[in-house]
Amino acid sequence: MRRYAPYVFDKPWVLLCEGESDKRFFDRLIQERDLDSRFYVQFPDRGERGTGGRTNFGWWLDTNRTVSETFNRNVKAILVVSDKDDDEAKSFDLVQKQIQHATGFPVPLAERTAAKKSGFPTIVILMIPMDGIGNLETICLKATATKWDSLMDPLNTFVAATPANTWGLSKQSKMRLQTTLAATCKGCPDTSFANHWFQNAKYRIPLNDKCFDSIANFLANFATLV
Amino acid sequence: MSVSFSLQKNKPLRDDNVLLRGYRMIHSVNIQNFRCFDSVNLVDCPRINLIVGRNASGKTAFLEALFLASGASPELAIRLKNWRGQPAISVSAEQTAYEGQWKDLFHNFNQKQEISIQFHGSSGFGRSLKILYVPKTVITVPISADTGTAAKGIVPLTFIYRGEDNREYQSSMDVTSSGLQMEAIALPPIHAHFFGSQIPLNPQQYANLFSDLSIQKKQSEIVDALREEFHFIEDIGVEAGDLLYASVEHLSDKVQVGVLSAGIYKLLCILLLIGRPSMGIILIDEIENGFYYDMLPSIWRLILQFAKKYEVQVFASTHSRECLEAAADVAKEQSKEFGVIRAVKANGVAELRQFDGKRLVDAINEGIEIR
Repeated sequence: MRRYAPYVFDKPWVLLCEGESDKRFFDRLIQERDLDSRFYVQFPDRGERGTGGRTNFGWWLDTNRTVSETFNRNVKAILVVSDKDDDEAKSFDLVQKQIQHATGFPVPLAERTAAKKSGFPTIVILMIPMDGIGNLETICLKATATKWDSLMDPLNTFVAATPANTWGLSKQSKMRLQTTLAATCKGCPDTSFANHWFQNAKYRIPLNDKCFDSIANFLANFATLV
Repeated sequence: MSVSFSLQKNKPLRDDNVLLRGYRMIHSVNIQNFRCFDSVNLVDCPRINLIVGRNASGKTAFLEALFLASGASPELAIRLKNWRGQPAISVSAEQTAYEGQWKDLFHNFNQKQEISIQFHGSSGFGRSLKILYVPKTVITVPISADTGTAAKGIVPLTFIYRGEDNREYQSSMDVTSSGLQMEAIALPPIHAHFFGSQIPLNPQQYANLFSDLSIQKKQSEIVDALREEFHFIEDIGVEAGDLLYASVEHLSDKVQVGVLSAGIYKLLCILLLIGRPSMGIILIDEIENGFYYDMLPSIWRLILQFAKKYEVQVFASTHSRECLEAAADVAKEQSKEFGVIRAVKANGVAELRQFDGKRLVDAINEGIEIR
């Protein structure tokens, strides 16, 4: 059982992402870029079911619509954000099926388009990165490459010498980001992507990097979609 | 004010076998024009029903609706007024003043439309109650009435019950010189008990229930269950005439259960009611009151254990997250026995929404606010 305060939906928009790392990223991005404060960022918790992430988007939507008074009363639009990973079409299809699985919700036919249905929140899907394949870590890795440029060559050498060398882009992005954050975070070398946001700014991924502009712009203009 | 009763002789008492026949669980409920409810329906109510919602959303009103329909007398409506802390009934010969005392039973105070409360259970069990104003063919005029106008009879508020036999049983609240008078009716009441948050427990009633069990040598089941959860309790019995006392370790004398712990006493009372030798329903408003948080899992375990054994259904409202978490802990293993009824006011309209025990567990695990 969770032992911390339960959540309520006190904002009109939900940004539904895959996990806690993503939530912390989007919370920080919205805060640091001074984006629309109408977003409430949440994700399907692993809990006692043992699985979280986007394969639980449908369960999450269905459960909240069934049990949460504040969800039904306040939520007008939901932005579902998911990684493209190594196969963009397959990933989008999976997210679409998850929304279909949630009883009654409108299902977008394409990403970044609004699906509307009376009595339900409007649903929009955003697949990231917006300009290629990969995941959130792939984007963040670009920002770390700018901040810690001198580490990239040694990192490439290191990756080439490890089993990660054969991994796909998404998995390798996670490994590369994790390694970079650990190697630069003197305050907490065992930090994670999710937790490094609590470290001093000099250890953090710079959210003002232009690689985040497309996502930030999309969030800033979300009102025009819904 | 006095309340007198007269038996309607044309309505025979039913055989006890009929009363006890079948499984009296409420599966579905329909309420119309009662308090905040215009029209609400519930289906598939399980054994343990947790009622959640904001203040003034209809939680207590829902319990009251079940309580009224479970009984067999308009007198229950007077009890509800007392429990709600409303002024005592005053007897008036004026229709307007008379109706004014009952208007809050009706949705939007609309007394032109009847109240209807129906529920159906397994084994074909059903009960309905209609509350409306029905003119009488014989007019009772209060002799003390001195209004200076032509005397007119009060059109009384009338309770029309329909039971399993599909017959109507009618009783009205007539104004007489000696107070309100209502006919006793031969419809056997369902065993329903209301634990209101403002209703004091009657020590004698529970001591009597315990004595009844003791005579049947069945009291040990409850005592053992309590000892299992609260190890410091050694024994429970009726002492000093008609009060429940407990033997407690490290104490030389027995102590009144209510003095030992208000929470344990409340739990004991609930279990005694569930353990009565008949099926029924227990209605508990704000169940968490009086219970320390770490008692709550034990309480749900015991309530479920006894409710299953005695085929009793529980409807309990709560504002407590800890209470819901404790219920969810028990529901993890027996989710089909639990359900949640959420009382909601949407655009001024009171609604009852349901979800099952599995959703309760999911919601607690996920950290969703469901109170």
